[in-house]
Amino acid sequence: MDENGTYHYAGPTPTQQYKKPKGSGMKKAKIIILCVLAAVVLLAAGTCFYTVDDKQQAVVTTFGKVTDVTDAGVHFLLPFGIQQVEKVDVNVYQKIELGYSTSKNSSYKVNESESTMITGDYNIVNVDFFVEYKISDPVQYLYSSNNPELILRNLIQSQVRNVVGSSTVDAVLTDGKENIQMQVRDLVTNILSEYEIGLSLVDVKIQDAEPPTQDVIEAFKAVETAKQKAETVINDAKAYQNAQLPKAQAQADQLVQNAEYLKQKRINEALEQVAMFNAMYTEYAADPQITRSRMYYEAISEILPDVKLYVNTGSGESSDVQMLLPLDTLMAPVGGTN
Amino acid sequence: MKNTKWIIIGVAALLALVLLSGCFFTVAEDEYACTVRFSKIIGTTADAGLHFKLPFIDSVKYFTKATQLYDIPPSEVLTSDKQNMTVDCYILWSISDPKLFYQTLGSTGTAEQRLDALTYN
Repeated sequence: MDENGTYHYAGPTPTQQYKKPKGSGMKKAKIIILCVLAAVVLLAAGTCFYTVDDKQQAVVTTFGKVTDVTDAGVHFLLPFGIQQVEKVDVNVYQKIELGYSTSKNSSYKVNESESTMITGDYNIVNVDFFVEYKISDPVQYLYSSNNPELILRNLIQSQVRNVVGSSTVDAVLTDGKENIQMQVRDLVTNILSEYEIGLSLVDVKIQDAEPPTQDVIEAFKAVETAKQKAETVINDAKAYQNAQLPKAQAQADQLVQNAEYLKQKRINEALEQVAMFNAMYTEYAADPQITRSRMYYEAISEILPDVKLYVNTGSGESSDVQMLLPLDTLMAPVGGTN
Repeated sequence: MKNTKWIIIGVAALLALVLLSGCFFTVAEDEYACTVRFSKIIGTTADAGLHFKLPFIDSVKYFTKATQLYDIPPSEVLTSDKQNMTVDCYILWSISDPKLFYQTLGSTGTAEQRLDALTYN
């Protein structure tokens, strides 16, 4: 359609087309040059500025040499590659997972070669670590080593093995975790400052510490439950002890008091006897004969309680009392005499 | 006539630009640069920034100044009390003298091979 149209007007148009380029050709060229210049200027202006995010710092290099480190905001820059900018996430906490890795869909993958290690008492354990670090010096981070993250990873691995290798298996698996974390953190922080790779350690955490195979895990659990059982038995025994001790104590007290009472009583009796004896002795000293005969009577009456006793106060053979005694034995068919 | 003049000017400008760009080289913060004249190292610099050289005649070789990590693969060894154990270690190294490095080793690959041989025994 259009082709036909142009052919129809073929006559007048060629002269116009040939004439116009020569007249406005220079103008057009100028305009094009101006446009190109404007584009170049715009481009230059566009590359003259850069922005830095709040979590970043930017390192500015002029002909490859570090000339500035800038914070968040918009900054000026020499264009055409004279100055270049490298932005580094300085304030972001970054993580390293040792012995395992989590992917975005939160699946969990174990990395045995990183987590298996030997303890100081020749046991093998799997220990997973979670490490947080951040970039402390963007210039060192960019230029002082070719792969700072990998260096940190290797460093932590070696120091973890170092610390775990000098701990006992019980400490690693149970109550020594806090201590191990602390030691690893201190060691790594010190060595990092020697390496000067622009990273600083924020935290080291033990994620998991467990024996390497299922059998060992079960045996370990069994040991733990046995330990707990032992504890409950000990507690029971202690409770029993606590119940029994006061009772026994009370009994003992009672016995002691009883004994004390008996002792006192015995002493008192003895004292009484002594006093009696002394009193008797004074009497005896005053008149030995009477006391002697009285003691004799008393002794006899004690030895032969059934015997009837008659006291004849008459003086010996010249007595006027006829001895016909005992009368009651006379009355009985047979009897003893005294 | 005008056109030829412009062309000459353009070519001259281009030549000047090439010459000028051949006169300078930049060194990054993590690099050593060795200026090589007719295959001979005539100077090394560790300072980053813009440096001068002769165009066409001098060329520049770059060597990294950064600390390199070389992770040695784990190897099994016997201890003196006949325990079998796996040793895994890594090496941090950096070039201290780029000229000597170029003369004796040449590249980081051969350097790592040498380090491997050195540390294995």
